[in-house]
Amino acid sequence: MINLLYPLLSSDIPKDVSDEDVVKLYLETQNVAYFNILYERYSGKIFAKCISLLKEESSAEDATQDVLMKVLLNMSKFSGRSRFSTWVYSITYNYCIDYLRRKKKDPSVYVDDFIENLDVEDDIEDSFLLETNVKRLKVILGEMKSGDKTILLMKYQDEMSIKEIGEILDKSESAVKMKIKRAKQKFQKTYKEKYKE
Amino acid sequence: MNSFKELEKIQEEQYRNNLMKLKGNIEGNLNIFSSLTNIIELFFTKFLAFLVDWAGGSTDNENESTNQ
Repeated sequence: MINLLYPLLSSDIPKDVSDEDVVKLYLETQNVAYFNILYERYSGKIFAKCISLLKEESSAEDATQDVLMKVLLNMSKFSGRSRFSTWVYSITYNYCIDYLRRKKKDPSVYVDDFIENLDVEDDIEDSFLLETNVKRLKVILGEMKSGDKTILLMKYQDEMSIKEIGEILDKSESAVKMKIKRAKQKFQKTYKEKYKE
Repeated sequence: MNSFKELEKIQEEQYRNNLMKLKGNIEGNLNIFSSLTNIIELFFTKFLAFLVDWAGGSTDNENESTNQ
């Protein structure tokens, strides 16, 4: 029988244990094997987001390391109100946004262009983005501003709800919908410019 | 799998070596934190007791022996 409280290796822990249970067990035992499980599940995803937003490999490495240390040191503050993945990604996105603000690499991340109470009817089908060829998707995301890219990654890669995105960015739901609509329009425009079809 | 998730998976695979290196760094940081915590746990209480003595106060043990 597997001793869940004192495992020797992360491979001893069943794969189907939920993130929330792994966090609880880590906090109870401080056993590094539980952190290794979370590392295996999330380090790649955090790195992928950092490289998409920061573009440079060395910055993405530093950012991933800092985010993982933040996750580790603040694990006791995880309240369980949201999914663990949402909590981890919110730390990641906020870290990258702060980094870009500090470096002033991309002014779009600190120009607040959220406009309330506008018509947020979305006229571009999600399938247009979700079925884009991966190579083309990478090129188009690389051309987009960080603010637009962030919101598209939150919605389509992390499948966050409008409410969750709003909580992370500290914006109202209508503001988030507007931001998504604009990001999709910019995506489509860039696509058409790049790949005239 | 949608193209956004597919891109994430490709990037995870592409940078797997970077992640191995990062894990070593994080484990190093963890060891430093753990050592610091141990040092604080070991010496802080003794240092506090020394300060109390130095300021003319008495420790709980002394109080107990006086009561007896």
